[in-house]
Amino acid sequence: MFLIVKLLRNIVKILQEDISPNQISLGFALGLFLGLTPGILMKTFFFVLIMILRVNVGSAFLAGAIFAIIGFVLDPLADKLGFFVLNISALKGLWTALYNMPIIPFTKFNNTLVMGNIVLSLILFAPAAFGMKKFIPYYRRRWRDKVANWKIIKILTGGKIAALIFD
Amino acid sequence: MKLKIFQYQPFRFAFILPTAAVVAAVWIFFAFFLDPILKSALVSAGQAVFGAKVEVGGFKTSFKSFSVSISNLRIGDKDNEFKNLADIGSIKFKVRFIPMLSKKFIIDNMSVDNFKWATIRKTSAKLPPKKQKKSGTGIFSKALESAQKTAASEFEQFSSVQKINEAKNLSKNFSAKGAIDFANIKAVDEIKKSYQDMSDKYSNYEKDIKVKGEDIKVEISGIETLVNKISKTNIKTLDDAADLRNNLKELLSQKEKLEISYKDIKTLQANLSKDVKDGSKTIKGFDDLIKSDVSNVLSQLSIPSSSQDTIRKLLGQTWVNRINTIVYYMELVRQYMPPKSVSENPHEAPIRLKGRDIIFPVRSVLPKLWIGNISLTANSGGEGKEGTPVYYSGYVRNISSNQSLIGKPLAFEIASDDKKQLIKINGVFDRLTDIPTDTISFFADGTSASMLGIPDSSYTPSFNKGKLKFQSNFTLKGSDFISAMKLNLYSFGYDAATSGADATTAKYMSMLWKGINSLNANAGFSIIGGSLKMDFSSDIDSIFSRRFNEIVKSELGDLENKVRAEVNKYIAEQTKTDAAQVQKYAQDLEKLINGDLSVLQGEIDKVNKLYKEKEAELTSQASKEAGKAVNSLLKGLF
Repeated sequence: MFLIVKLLRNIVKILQEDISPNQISLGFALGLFLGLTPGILMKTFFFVLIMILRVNVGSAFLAGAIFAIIGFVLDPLADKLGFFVLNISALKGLWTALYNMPIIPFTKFNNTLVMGNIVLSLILFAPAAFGMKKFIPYYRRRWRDKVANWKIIKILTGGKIAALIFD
Repeated sequence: MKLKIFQYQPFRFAFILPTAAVVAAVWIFFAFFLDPILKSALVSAGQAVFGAKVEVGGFKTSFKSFSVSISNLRIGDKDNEFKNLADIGSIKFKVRFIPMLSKKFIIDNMSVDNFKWATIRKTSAKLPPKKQKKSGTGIFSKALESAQKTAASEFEQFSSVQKINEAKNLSKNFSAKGAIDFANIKAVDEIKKSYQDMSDKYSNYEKDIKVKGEDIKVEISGIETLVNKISKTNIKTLDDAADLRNNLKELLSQKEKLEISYKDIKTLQANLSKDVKDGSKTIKGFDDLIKSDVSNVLSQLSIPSSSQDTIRKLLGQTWVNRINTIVYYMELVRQYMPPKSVSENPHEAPIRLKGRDIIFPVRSVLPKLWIGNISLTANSGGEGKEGTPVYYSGYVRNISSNQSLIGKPLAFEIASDDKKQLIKINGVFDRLTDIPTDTISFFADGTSASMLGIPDSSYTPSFNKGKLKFQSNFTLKGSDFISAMKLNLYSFGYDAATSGADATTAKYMSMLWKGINSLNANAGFSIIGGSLKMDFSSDIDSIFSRRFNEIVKSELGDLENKVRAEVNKYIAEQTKTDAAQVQKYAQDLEKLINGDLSVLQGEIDKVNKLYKEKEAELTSQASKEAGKAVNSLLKGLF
C-alpha cells in the first residue's frame, strides 16, 4: 500500500513539477527496458545506464514498474518474437559469435523470452519516448492547474507530513 | 549561465562519483587485503591434500596483469615430521581474465623454480590430530599393509645368519639322548612292516613246500614199490619179459612225474631266492626315509639355512615401501582427478522456468581448470643435504579438470642435468578413456644407492655407499596396480671394520659377501582384482644361498653324521629281531627245498639206473632167445 501511494506521489510529482519533458520521456523509454527485459544482468545494465545518464529516474522506475506488470501479459508474444529473431538464418552468424564471446552469454540473450522482450523494448522505445514528450506539455497546458486543486493531489504533494513520509 | 550548462550535461555525476568511490574501495580491498586471504586458503588446501603443515613465505597477486607469485612454499612430510616433502623457491603464473568471469581458471604458463625435496625442517610438520587425514582408506591399503608386514618380517629373517655361531656350539655339545625324539623315527615302523610282509610271503612258501612234499612222498612210495617189483623180476620166460617191459614203461611214467615235481620245487626255490633278494632291496630302499628322519632331527636342532630368496628379503621391504609411497600419490591424483566426465559440456541447456534456450555451435570450451605448461627447475640440495647438489629441469603439462575438453592427458617429466648421475621421472595421467590410466616411470643411472633407502645393518654391505642403476614402472589402470623394477646395485662391498657387527658375525658376513660387489634384481608387484602378487629374483640368490649353507655345514662339522649314526643305530636295534627271524625263516625254507630236491634227485637217479639195468637185461635175454630160435631152425633144415 505504501509503495503504491509512493508510486502515485512520484507520478503526480513528475506530471505537476517543472521537470524537462525530454528527461522524463527518455527516462520513461529506458525504464521500459528495465521493466520488460528479464535477467539480473540486463536489469543491472539498464539501471546503471539510467543512473549515469541525466534522465528522470522517477519516470524510469515508473515505466519499469508499469512494464514489469505488462511484461507478464506480453510474455507469450515475446517468446514467439524471440524464437523468430533467434532463428533468422541471416542472423545465425551474429548470434553464434555473441554466444562464443566471453561475457555476452551471461545476458541469456539466446533465451526466447529475453530476446523477445529486448526486441519489444526496442520497438516500443521510440513511440514511448516521443509519446511522452508530446504528452507532458499537453498535460501541463490543459490539466496541471485543475489537477493541482484536487484534494488528493494536495495531500500527496503539498504537506510537510507527506514529504516526511514519502521522501 | 553556469547552472544552465550544468543542466545540459548528459551524465549524472551525483551517481557516477559515489559509484566510482565504491569501486575504488573494492579495488583497494582486493589489491591490499586479498593476498592474505588467498595465502590462508592455499595453506588450508595444501594441508588437506598433503596431511602435513604447509607454509607460504610470500603470496602476491597483481590485478594489473592477473598474475600470482608465491615464494618459499614448504610442504611438510606426513611420514617424517622434521622433513619437507617439497621446498619450492618460487611459483609464478598468470591467469586468463575472461575465462575467470565464467569461473574458469586458465593458466597458460607457470614456472616453478628452485624446487627441493626432503629438506630439513626446524619445526614439526605434524598437524593437530583432528586435522590429520585418515590413513589406510585407499583401494590398495589392505593388500599393501599385508605386503609391508611380509617384507618387514622377511628382512628380520635375514638376520638368521647370526645363528651360525649357535650351530657351531650345538655340534660341540651334541647328545643324542636329549636331542633326538626317537619316537618320531618313522623308518622303524616302515622297516618292521616290510619284514612282516616278507614273513607272510615266506609263510606261503612254507605251505606250498609242505603240500608239494606230501605229493612227492606219495609219488616216491609208488616208485619204490615198482622198483622193488622190477628188481625182483627174473626173466625166464617170454611172459616174464613182457611183464618186465610193462613195468619198465610204468616206471618211466612215474619218473617223469618225479621230474615234474623236481622242476616245481626248483621254481619255488628260484621264486624264494628272488623274494629274499627283493626284500633286501626294500630294506635298503628305506634309506630315503632314514635321511628324512635325520633331516627332521637336524631341523629340530635350529640349524640355520638360507633359501633362494635372500635378495628379496633384503630389498623387498625397500621395494614395498616405495610402492606404498607411489600408490599413496597415485590415489591422491585419483582423488583430485576423477575419471572422464562430461559435466562441463556447455551443450546441456540449463533448466529455465520461462522461455526456451536456443543453443548455438560452440567453437571451443575451456575446462574449469587448465594449466597448460609448468616449467620446473629443482635441485637435490637444501638444508640437511650433503654433497654437491644435482640440478633438475622438467615440465608438467595439461593439468585440467576435464581432459576430454582439451583432448590431452596430464603429462610430466623431470630429469637431472648431470649426465653422470642421470635421474628421470616421467608420467602420464590419462582420463581420455573410460578407464583412467596413471603411469609413472622412474629411471636412475650412476646415482648413489642411498636413494633406495635400504636400511643399514651389520649383516649387509653398506649399499648406501654403492651406485645404482634403476628402472621402474608403476601403472594404475582402473583399480588394477601393476609395477615392475629392474635394479643394478654396484660398487658396494662388505666392510667388517665399519659394519658394526661383532667379530664372529663380521667373520661370517665377510665370508658370505666375499667378492660380491654388484647385484642385479628384478621385481614385480601387482594387485589385480584385489589379489596381490609379488615376484623377486636376483642373480646372486643362488651364490649367496650356497655360501650360507656351506658355512653352516662347515661350522656344524660332523653333527649331521653323528645324528645319522644315532638314527641308524636305533633303527638297527629296533629291527634286529625281525631281520634275524626273517633271515632264519628264509634259510629254513631253503633247507627244506634243498632236502626235497635231494630226495627227488636220488630217486630219479635210482630209477634211471634200474631202468638201464633192466633194459640191458631184457635186450640180452632177447638176443639169447633169438640165438636159440635160429639154431633150432637151422637144425631143422639141415
